[in-house]
Amino acid sequence: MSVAEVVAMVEHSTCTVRRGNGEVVLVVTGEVDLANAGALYNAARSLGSQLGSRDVVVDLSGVRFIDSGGIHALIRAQGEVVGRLMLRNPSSAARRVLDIVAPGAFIMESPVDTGVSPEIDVRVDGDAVVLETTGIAPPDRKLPMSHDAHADALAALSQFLVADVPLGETLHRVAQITIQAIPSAAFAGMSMLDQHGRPSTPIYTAEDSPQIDAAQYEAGKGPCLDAWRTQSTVRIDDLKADGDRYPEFAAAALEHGVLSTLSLPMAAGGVGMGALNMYAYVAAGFSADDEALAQELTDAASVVLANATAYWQAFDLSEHYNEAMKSRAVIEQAKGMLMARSETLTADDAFELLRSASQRENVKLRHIAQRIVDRQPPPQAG
Amino acid sequence: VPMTFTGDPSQLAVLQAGREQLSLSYQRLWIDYFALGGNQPLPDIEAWLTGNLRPSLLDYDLLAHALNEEFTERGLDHPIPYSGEI
Repeated sequence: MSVAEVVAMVEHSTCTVRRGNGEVVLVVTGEVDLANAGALYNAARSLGSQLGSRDVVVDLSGVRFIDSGGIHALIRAQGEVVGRLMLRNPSSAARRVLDIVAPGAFIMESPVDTGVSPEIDVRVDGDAVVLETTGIAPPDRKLPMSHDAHADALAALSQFLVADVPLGETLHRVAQITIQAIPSAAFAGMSMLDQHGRPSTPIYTAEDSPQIDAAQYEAGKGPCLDAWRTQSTVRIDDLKADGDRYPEFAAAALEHGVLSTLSLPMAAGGVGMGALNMYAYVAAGFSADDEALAQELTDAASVVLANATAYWQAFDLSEHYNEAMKSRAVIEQAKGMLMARSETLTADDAFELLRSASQRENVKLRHIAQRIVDRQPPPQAG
Repeated sequence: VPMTFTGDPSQLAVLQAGREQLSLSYQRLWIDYFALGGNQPLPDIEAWLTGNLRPSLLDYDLLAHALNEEFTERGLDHPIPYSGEI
């Protein structure tokens, strides 16, 4: 027997911690969107800190809708729990968004019996979620709490992962955060395809960036293009010495006083989407540490890009989706009524009846279904 | 076990041609399919239409009907054949 307790309830979504059968599972149901993604993040993180080095299992079988903000709440929680964060039985709605926004980002779990039955008391104190644990080991260690520039930069960036602002603004903010986090970067820009399918630098922190990049787009070769095409980092420590590798780009960069550059690929789901490029006024301006931090920021920017696309696509289709839900409900109800009248009729048979009536009468299937639902049940024979 | 569409794979290409003629995205077609009661996720739609997976007979007919309702709105009478008509 498992018991369920409500940990957080925000509008349409509930996060419930279920315990029993030797496991603790965070069960998420309903709709997760920008409004309640924070509650999901808090619930997953709290549970993770209570479970210590044990895995956090998040059951998504009852999720009717989750947007990229919800997926991001889970990605962020995954980065903070000591054990692994694993997903169980994502609903088809959750799977669709996972496949678009975060393919391969999560471990999928199948239930196992650990033989241990921890007890968790859950209490909601204002906005805070408190989990009190007995019967399981305390966390192996405190959650890492670093406040260096690196963490601050990523924290600042995470706020923009789900922000409801146009894509261009979001990416521009990412470029600004990048040059703040990497002091030697005088300015930064992002190469991506424009609406005509040609490479361009629509995002930049100084106009020098698109001006320098124009030289490599015209020449058809340069560090940003190579990073983008080869999905690997291109670092040029000294444009004066290494200028012959990309002569057109080097000449343009030197004209702007740039002596070294760092270009990192932006990719999501294995698809290259562009490159993030940084420019320094000194030679060898970028260290290996800078490269590692820049890669994390670029990965996050790639997620922003993938996310934003998914987000706006979902937004464009949401009206159709609501209509689809209504239509589906009426059709399911009509199928149920048909099946109730005949013991041998399957759900597929019922659909076939509706479909052939729709074709024969040239009336939309949902209207045929609506007629059946609206019709009074026939009087009992007798 | 649901019956699987075992017809000529070119029939799946007919679905794909219908989708392209109507300029429907996979997402939009999936929503129409879902509205009619379809249960499979969006990536399956693309896999069926590109011939990489075989749909069940029900899923085939759901897609055929979703396309036919769009065609009907444009004055064409159910041009996509159903599984029983193949």
